[in-house]
Amino acid sequence: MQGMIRQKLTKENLQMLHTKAEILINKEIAPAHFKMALRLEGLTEKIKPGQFLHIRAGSGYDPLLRRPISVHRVSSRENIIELLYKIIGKGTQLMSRRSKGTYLDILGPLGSGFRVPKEQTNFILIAGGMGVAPLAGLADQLATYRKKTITVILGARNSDSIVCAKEFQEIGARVIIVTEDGSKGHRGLATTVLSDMIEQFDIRKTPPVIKKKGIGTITIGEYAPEVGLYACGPLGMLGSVAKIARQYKIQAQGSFEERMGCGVGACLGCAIKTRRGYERVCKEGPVFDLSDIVWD
Amino acid sequence: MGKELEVNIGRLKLKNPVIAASGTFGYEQGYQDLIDARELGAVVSKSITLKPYEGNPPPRICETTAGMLNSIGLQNEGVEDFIADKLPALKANSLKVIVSIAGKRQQDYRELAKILDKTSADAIEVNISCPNVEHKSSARLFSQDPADTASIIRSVKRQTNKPVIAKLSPNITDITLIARAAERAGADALSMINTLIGMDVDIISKKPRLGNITGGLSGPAIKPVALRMVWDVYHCVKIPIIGIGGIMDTEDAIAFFLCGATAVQVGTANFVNPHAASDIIKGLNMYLQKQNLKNITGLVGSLKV
Repeated sequence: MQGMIRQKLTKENLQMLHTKAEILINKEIAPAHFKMALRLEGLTEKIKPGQFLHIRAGSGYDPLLRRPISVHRVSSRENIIELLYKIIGKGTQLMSRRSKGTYLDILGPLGSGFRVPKEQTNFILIAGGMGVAPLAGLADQLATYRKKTITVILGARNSDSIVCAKEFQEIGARVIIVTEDGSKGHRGLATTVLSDMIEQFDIRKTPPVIKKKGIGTITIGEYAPEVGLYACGPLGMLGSVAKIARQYKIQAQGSFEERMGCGVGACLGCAIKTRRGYERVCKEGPVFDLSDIVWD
Repeated sequence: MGKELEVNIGRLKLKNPVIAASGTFGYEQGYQDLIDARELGAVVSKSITLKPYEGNPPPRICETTAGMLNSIGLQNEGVEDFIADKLPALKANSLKVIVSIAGKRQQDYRELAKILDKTSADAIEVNISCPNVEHKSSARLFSQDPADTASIIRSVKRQTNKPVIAKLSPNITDITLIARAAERAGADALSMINTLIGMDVDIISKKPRLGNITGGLSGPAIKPVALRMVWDVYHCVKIPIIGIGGIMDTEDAIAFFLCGATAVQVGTANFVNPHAASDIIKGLNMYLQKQNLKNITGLVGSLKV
């Protein structure tokens, strides 16, 4: 028994670090949106898309707690981790003021990450606002698959918050932009576009949407194991995606956000209600099968 | 390192006086993945109850100025699962394991103590002060009433020979009354303080920031309250005190020893700096050397007033 546990611990030890990572880049790429690049030796190849870093933004006690920030993209060759974040409070405000060449106190990588089943080849990624951050890393992984179609629906409030369209296009994904105010791409909600695409694939006239292959091949009510839906964004959006996934019998995973204490599964602060009871966003999550979540 | 940091909490002998507080360290896949828990004097388990507790609705955590509120609500899988699964894991990677017990009824504590007496637990911390669950007594918390405190501690002591530590609530007019009641009932030591009941509000949504409305405040914000209570209690009990409350670094820990604590627990600080407890152990060693002290016990209660 004891031997077993030690072995497990040793293995886990290699996968989590509490360290200082050098900030290589920290720049504003759109109003209030920042991209930060960190150098992190010996860890990058172990990071799975969907995992996060628990970051101490400053050094004082206000804010006190770390901030969970998802890993955006990783370059193992250069030992670089990219983060994409938006200023929403004290923690991210402090992060945005950190200058290049200084060191950031990080804990990670943490959490479960996306799990891509082998039978999937038709990938639909749907992002709401900053939810785009972990999906970019996922798209990088999917791009390495031999057989795949990647569709990315980027939803945001306005054109200022559409931040990574180019990155997705570069890896060969078709990108559909949706803004609530219509200032870029389609007007409306990303989830509306998603259900339109599934249900009425020949109705929309914009070229990227009308494709005979890929998403258009799904017929209502038929189980489509080759289709994988991956979502990240506000809770309301994830709820809508879960509903659509259930309706069309599509496997869907979502990355969730919750206030966190420890980030490592100890404090049970970041609870989310699942069919199995409360689970931890930091440990069992942040990526969950959307069909497992209990929506109130 | 020699024996400079060794302390005794009643019959519980600790290699050093720095303990991971209940619910802040994890069982086997928490900070154990990062830190060798054998460096710590002891680890206190998350409070366990007789039957599984689902816990409170989210959000369960909310950050406040230099502190945090939590309303976890004692989520745990129950004592049976704890003994079969969590305790062996904790024992395998810690020097000493103090098992925290909680319940809604007085007899829950008695039954838990009886069950735990036959296990490898090194001591029992009786959590009569969790602010996140209701019980049926007139007082909201058992540790708000000297009679409840005494009867729970007495019944736990009857069931076990393991050292029994009473964890006290600061949410009370005069904590020394409760401390003395626990001591008279046979407690081997006191852990103090548990969190302060508080709440916070989101003025945009006009909703409370915790799902359970109120929660327990911890972190550096509560240190002065904790220090005062340790200092007061130190003068009216003979049993050792384990100081808890906003200990973030070595300086904080030393303040608690000076005010009368024999050991300290580090809780919220783990979330901020996972190496907080091990940093404090190193810091205490350096402090003793600088002060030319042979043992940490020489510091206990030595505040100059």
